[in-house]
Amino acid sequence: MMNDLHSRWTDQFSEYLDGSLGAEDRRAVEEHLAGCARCAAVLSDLRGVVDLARSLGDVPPARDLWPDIAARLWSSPEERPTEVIPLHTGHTGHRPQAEPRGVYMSRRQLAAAAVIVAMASAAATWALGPGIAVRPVGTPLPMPAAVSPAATEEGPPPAMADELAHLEATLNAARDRLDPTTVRILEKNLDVIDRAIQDSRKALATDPANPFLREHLDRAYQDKVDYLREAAGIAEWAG
Amino acid sequence: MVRTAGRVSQEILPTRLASPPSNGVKMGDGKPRNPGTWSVPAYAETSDVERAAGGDHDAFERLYREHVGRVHALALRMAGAEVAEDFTQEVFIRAWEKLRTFRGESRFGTWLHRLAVNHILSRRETMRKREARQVGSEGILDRVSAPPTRSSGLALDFEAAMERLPDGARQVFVLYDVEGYGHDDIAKAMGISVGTSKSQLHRARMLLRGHLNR
Amino acid sequence: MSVAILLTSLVVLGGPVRPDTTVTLRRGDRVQVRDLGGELEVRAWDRAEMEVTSEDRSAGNVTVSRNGSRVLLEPEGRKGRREDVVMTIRLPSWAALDVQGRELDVDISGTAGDVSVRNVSGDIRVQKTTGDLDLSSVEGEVTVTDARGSVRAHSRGDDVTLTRIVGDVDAGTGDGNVRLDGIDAASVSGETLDGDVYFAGSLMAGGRYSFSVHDGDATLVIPRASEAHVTVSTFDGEFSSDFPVTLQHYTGQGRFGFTLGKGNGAQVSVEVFDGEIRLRRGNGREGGE
Repeated sequence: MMNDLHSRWTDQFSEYLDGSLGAEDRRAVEEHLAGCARCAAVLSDLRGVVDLARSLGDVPPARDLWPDIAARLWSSPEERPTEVIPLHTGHTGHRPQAEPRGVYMSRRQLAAAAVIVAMASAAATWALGPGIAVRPVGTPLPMPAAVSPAATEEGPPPAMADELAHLEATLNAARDRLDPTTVRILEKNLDVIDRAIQDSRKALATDPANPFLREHLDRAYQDKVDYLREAAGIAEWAG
Repeated sequence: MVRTAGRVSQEILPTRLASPPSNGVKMGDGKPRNPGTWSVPAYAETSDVERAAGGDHDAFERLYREHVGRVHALALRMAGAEVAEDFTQEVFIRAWEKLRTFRGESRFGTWLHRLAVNHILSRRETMRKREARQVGSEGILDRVSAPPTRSSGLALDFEAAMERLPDGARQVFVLYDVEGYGHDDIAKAMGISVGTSKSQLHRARMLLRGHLNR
Repeated sequence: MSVAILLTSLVVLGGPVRPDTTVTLRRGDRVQVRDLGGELEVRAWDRAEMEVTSEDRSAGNVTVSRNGSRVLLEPEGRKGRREDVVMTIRLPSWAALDVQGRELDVDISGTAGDVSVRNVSGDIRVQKTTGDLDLSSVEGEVTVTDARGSVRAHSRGDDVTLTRIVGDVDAGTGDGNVRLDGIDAASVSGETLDGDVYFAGSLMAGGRYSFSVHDGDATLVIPRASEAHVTVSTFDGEFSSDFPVTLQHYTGQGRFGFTLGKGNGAQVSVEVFDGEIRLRRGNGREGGE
C-alpha cells in the first residue's frame, strides 16, 4: 500500500494522465515526479493500465445468440414483426413508411385521452368505444367528460394506518436484536416501497380524481403492510 | 419521483449518454479501433437500419452480426461473464423495439452502443446485489489482487482483473478508459457526481496496476 | 429397527446427527429446517428415509428431533454462534418441507410434497417439483423451473423467474424483474415495484391474469387465438399491441379496456405506473432459456 506521503501525489495521477489537472497542480506533480522514483513507477503503471484498456477489442459471444434473440422477438419464423405505429403529431422520423401492424399509444396520448385503436393491416378499420369520436391519427382528442371526482387523500387508507404504525413500532423495537445485515436489507427494501408510495402521492396530487392512481397508491400501502408483517415475522425468528 | 430522469431519457436514449465519446484517442480521432464495428460502409449500414426499422428481420440480423462483438464486450466488461450473453440479447431486443426512436442523427453503432450502456447500467443494481452476496466479506483489495483465473496472455489476465473490480469502479473504468466516454456523460448516466466518477476511475486504475507487473 | 432406535436416541439425547445418518419418515411427516445459513440442497429419492449429509461435515452442527409428525433440523446451540452449513438432505418425494433460513442458498429438486421456503437473503432455486410451492426471499433471487402445482414466489430485492409452470402463479418482487415463461395457469399474478414483468403463457377461459408494475415495463406474450377481456391502466406509460384492439370502454386518465377475440375468455389486467405495456403475439411458450 502506498503510504500517506506518496498517496498525496498518486491521488492526482489519474487527473494528471487525463490532462484535467490545473496548471499549478500539474507543475507540482511534475516536480515531485522528477525526484521520486517510486511515484514515477506508479505513474508509469497507471499509464500502462490506460494503454491496455484502450487496446482492448471486441469480444464476440462464445455462441451465436441470434437464434435466441429471433425467437424472443418473433416467436415463429414466418410471423411478421410488430410494427409500432407512431401516432404523435409532428413525428419527424425519417424511417421508411412501413405497413402498420399493431397499435401504439404514447404516454402523451394515453394521458391526453387520445384514444387510438388498432388495425390488422394498412386498410384498418377504426373502432372506438361508445361516446368517443373517431379522429384521424394524430389529432388530439378532447378529454372525456366522464370523470368521477374523488377525494384526494394521500395517506394510507384508515384501515391500514393503525396497523402500519403498529408494525413500524414493532420493527423499531426489534432493531437492536437483529443483526445489522438483516436490518440493512429490511430497510433497503422498505425504501423501494416508500419511493413507490411517494411517486404515487405526487402523481395523485397532480391528478386527484384519477381512480387508477388512488388504487395504485392503496396497493403500494398494502404492499408496505404486507412487507412489514413479513419483516416483523423475520424479526421474531431471526432475532 | 414521478418520472425519473433515467426512465424518461431511456425513451429518447441518446440524451442519457448525450455527447459523443469524448476521449479523442479512441473514437474521436477517426482511427478505427474496432474494425469489425467501424469498417461497415455507412451506406450499407444505413439501408440495413432502414430496412430493419421497416420490419426486415434479415436486415436486423446483419446489424446484429456487425455489432454483437462490441455489445458483448461491453456487457462482459461492465457486468461480467455470468450475465454478458443475457444482457447482449436484451440489448438487441431493446434495439429492435426502439428502432423507431433512432433518427439517424448519429451512426447506428453509436446509438446502439449508448442503448447498450444505458441498459446495462439500468441492470446494475441487480448485479450489484448479486455480487455483494456472492463475494461476501472478502475485501476488495483481496479480490482484485487475487491471482488471475485465466492466464493466457496479458489481455485476458487484465480482463479477469477488471471483472473483480468493485462494481462502480469497474463501470466507470470501462466507460472511460475502454469505451472513451467523458466524466460528464458517465456521471449523468450513472447518477453520480463528476467527482465520484473521477475518484472511481482512479481507484480502478490503482487496483489494476498490480496486474501489469505479473 | 435400527434407524428408529437411532431416532429415539436423538430425541432423548438431543445430540447432533452425524453426517450420513438416516431417519425414517412416515407419510404425513413435515420436515422443518430452521435458522440455517449457508447452502442447502434438497433432493428426492425413492426411500422412506431422510438422509442428511455434508461434504465438509458441517451437518454435524445440526440437530434433528421429532415432535409428532414434525421432524425438525436446526443448528446446535440455537441461540449461540451460528455456523454456516453446506448440506444435502435426501427425502422421500412425498414428504412436505418447510425451510426457514437466514443467508441460505436453497436448491430443491424432484419433490412432490408441499414446499415452503422463507429466507432473509440467499437464492431459492426449485426444479422438477409437483407439490405446491410457497417461496420467499427478502434479498435473494427466486427461480422455479418445470413445476406442476401452484407456485407462490416472492422476493423483495431480486428477480423472480418462473419457467414452465403448470399451476397457478403468484409472483412478485419489490426491486427486480418478474419473468414468467411458459405458464399454464388459470390464475396468474405478477408484480414488481422497480423492474419489468414478462409473461409468456396461454390464457384459459375464465382465467384471471393480473400484472402490476410501478416503474418498469410489462410485456405479455400470448397466443394468437387468445380470447380475453383486457384492462390497461397507466399513469405515465406507453401501450403497444400486436393484436388488433377494439376498444370496449375508456374511462379516461390512462385506463381503458378491450377484447381479444370474442372476449369471452380470460380477464387480463395490466397496470403500469411509469413504463411500457406491450402485448405480443407468440406461442406463449418461450421457455428453455
